[in-house]
Amino acid sequence: MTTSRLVAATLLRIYRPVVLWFWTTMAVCAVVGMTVIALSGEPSFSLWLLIAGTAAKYWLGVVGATLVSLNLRQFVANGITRREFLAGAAIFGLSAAVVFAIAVVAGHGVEQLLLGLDGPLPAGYPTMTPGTAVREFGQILPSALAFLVAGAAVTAGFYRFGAWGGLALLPAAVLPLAAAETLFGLDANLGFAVRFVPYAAAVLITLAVTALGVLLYQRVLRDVTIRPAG
Amino acid sequence: MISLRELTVRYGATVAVDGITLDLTPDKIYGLLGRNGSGKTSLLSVLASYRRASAGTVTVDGVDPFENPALMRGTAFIRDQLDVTTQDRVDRVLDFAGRLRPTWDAGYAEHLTDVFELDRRKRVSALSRGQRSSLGVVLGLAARAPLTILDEVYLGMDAAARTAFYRELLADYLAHPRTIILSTHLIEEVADLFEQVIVIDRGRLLVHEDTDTFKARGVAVTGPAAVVDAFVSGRTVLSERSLGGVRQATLYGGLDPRDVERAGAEGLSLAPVGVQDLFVHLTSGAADGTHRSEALR
Repeated sequence: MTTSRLVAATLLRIYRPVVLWFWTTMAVCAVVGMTVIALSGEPSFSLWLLIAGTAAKYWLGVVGATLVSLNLRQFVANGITRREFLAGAAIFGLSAAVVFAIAVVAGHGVEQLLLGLDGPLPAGYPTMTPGTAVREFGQILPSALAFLVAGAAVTAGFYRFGAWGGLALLPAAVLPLAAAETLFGLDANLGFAVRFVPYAAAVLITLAVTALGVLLYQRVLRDVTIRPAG
Repeated sequence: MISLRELTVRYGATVAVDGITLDLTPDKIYGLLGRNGSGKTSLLSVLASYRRASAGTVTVDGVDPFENPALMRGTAFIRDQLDVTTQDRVDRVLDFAGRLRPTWDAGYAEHLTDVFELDRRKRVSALSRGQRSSLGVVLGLAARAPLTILDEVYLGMDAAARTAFYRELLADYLAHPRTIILSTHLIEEVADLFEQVIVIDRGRLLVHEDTDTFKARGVAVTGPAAVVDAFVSGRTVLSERSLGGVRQATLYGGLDPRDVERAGAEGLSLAPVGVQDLFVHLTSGAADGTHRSEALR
């Protein structure tokens, strides 16, 4: 196993308990919420898409923010170079974003299946087809990556440059997040929607700005001093 | 061979390490001595690739260790504030090191946790200061890294734990020779472990030599004040103290056989000076406000 894969696998072990906790919480909230909504009327939206789709990207933002602040020190202290850590963190982050995007889409499918057991789907419910599933995945993934990278870049700035330097870097660090939030949103039925530009352009713009965020992250951390805790 | 050339570390206007040039031959135990703020930790941080030097170079066998995977893998740097997640349990911290360090000896780590009576189920945050230091020793020694740097790892350890640490360090070093750098303020306790002594003062290298040579440089001359004054005239005097008509002067620099003979003939007694006393004399301020170390530069 290469060192970067070892770093990614170790990060996965570290975050696995909170990932499981997160998705369990999401599932319980969606089941309870959808049951309450179904009892009071016909749901015209997907609660799963609303809560899991939104929470997943914010959660990945938090993961990105903690990558450096909680982990870089320990890995370097055990002989891992910064470059290896960044490569491993990239593999872990990309894998997490893909898994989260798949989980959101899969959860939508399960929700639709459960609603369909009781008869025809309610009017206005964002029905999932293979085409919409791909589109949902293609919308969640860039958003998730943007939040993850923004969280990581923001923390990297504060870690390296302290409070004032971190604040100065903040506008550049949050650009991926800003791009994703500007271009991807929710429609009137709380389904996923693209704003201002065509879908392909929104994806490309978000990915391009996210790539710049990755570059910023790498530049800030490639020779950063490993500070003691506290 | 670890080579430092004109190594300098600055924090803004503050110079922590000031142009140190030094060669460290492998497989020796080095004692790095210096007062608080003398630049020890900054120097060690550069050696361990935790930070880049502001100027100068560090090479290990001619290669820059910074971001070099093989050399960083071969370095264990244990600081007084451990680089671990304090919410993790001890066994998880050890498991983490075992996953990442190719030279990690899990059996030896288990032995050391027993020696230091560390509860592997306890969270790091629940350990006492001394127990955390013991965990640092476990991480440092069980890593079996070719370059092991222990920076003030004894903080909070009781006498029994420190004794166990010195015993384990020496035994493991003899079984698995490697370069060990010990930075410590408990000089007298560990001086016998050092093969070489490095003294830095205000960021500058003051002394780097074999411990025996270093010890031989210090000699306390005691006798009648006038005779002592005459004997020490022209030599480097680190300290003097008088009681009635008797004076004791601590000299820096070895005495040759003729000097020893002369001292005996004049009724002066000569006594060795311990590493700690020598260090204190070298790095403490003189009564006139100057630094004694200036005389040695």
